[in-house]
Amino acid sequence: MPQNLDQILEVYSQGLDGIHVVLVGNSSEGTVLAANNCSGKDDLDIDAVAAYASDLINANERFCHIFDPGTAVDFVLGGSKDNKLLMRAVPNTPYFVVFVVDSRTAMKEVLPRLNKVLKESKATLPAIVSEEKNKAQALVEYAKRYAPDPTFVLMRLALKTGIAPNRLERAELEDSELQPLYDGIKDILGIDRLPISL
Amino acid sequence: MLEQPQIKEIDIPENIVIDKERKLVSLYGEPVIFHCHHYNLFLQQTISDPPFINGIEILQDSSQEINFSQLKNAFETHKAQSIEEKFAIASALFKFQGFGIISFSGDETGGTANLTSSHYAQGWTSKYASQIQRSKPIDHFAVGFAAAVFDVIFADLGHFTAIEESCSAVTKTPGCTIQISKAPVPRKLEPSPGMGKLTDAPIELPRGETNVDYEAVNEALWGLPLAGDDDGLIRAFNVLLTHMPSNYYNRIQYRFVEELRQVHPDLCNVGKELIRESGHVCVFYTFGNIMESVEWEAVVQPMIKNDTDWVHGGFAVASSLGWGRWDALEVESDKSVRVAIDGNYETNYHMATYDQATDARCFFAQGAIPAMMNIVYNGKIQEKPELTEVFYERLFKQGNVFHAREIKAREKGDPYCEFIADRN
Repeated sequence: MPQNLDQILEVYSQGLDGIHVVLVGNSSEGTVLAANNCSGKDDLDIDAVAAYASDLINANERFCHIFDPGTAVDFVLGGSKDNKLLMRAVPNTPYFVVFVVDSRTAMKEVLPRLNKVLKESKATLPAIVSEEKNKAQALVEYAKRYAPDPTFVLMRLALKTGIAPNRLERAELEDSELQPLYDGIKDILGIDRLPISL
Repeated sequence: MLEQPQIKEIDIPENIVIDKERKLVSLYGEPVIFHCHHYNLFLQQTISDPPFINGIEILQDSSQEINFSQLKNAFETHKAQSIEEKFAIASALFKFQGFGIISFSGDETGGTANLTSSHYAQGWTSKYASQIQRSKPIDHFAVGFAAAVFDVIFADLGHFTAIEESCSAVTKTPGCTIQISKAPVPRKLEPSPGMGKLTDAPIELPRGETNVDYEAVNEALWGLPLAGDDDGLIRAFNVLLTHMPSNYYNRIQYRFVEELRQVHPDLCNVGKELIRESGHVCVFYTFGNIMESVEWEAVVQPMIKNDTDWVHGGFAVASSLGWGRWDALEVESDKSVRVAIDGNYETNYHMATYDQATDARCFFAQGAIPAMMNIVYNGKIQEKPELTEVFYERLFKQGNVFHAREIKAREKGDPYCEFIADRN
């Protein structure tokens, strides 16, 4: 029986061809808790996979609430013609499990593994300290994920808001600074609203 | 209203003057330099970002001012008499320099410019449209150019204003429209300083040991026929180039920094850093693609014997683009480079326009020089990587990148500018 999250992911990545990545992430933070990269690509950006998967979970949650505010995200399927992305949320937590597999890999082989990871990882997941993320931090992280030239997005936001880049980086802003930050990100992305409410 | 006839064929290339000693290039009395759409877009984006200064006005007015000077000289050179001839020369110049295809109609009360192909709109679409939306027009250079055309033909500098009414980067349909009208009150605009404050004579610089023959590279590149194609775009080295009057870049960057200093001094360094980044991203894509091109293989590659020659080769190319005399004085493999620029285009303008500076102000060069080291030693350009945005971001994420300091500055009173780029 695996003892920790890394061991759980390793066990359920083995014995089936076509598994590229298995990870457990935190959708509130957009971060990865543990991952097993079996893709053979050492430079694969696992942090980015977790961040975008978090966005999918969050978007799906909003989608679910349109139909029934009482429901929560369960299963999400995505990907391309070459790769499939399968995700399940750990109920009543911000955590989720992701499998990225080759599109030729049979779903019936993958799903039991996903469910096993979900079940066995529950006991090893960290306690939920803060459900509600700081709004400024959520906005800054969103900008870093979706703005072009992400290395320089904080500098651009500094010019757009008048807020120094180091304060944006720390995301310790006054309430009155949230709206200019929100507007600056909207402007950079060229969209009318962001999926983050103030 | 006068309609523009078919564009008259004029021989623009024969009016290009190359000052081989100073490694400067001019066209109709204005210094001109090559830059790519990555540079043009990033610089314009930086200047138009802050809502507390009028960046769009800086971009459009500067274009009107600098193009006024160049167009005036062009019309005089070609002894253009009629309005139709002048419209045609303006269109031909716009196309030749890679800005796109523009045609004019109008009279002394104003008129219309139709932009059927646009460097900025096409560049933005190719670089950003898959990631983000655009809701505001982008052709600020063309807007200033159009106003300048009417200024020169019908009045004097500052008498016309222009506005982009529809932009293809926003509408996602071909064609942009610019309306030109008489200003209610003429605005006080400043013409270009032309070639600026040139060096008296080239300074003898102790070039570092290299197998690269800078002058041979210069001659080969000066001979390349880089001009706008049927779409008025210079598609070369996997980027869109423009043969831009360099004083446009100088004017917009220095005015931007000056306004930022007055309105938000605490953000001045952020503004400068983003201008440096426009230089960095320019060198990464343009020089990276040049170093992977058949032209590089034919001209520079045969001279290269070691990794430091790659750096020298890059600076030899840099000194062929109208930027001035760029020389790598010392390249320490994978560690540092010391570069001198004698008569940098930025200093020529700065010294003709401002009092002696108290801080180093070659912002473009401060970003471009470390980029050359980053592309060779961090990007491993010798292995011909695919130059994508993901690759570019990874360069920064992996850390240990080169940065530059301008340790001598002609704009501060030194005889030439000198830079050190290292990983400190």
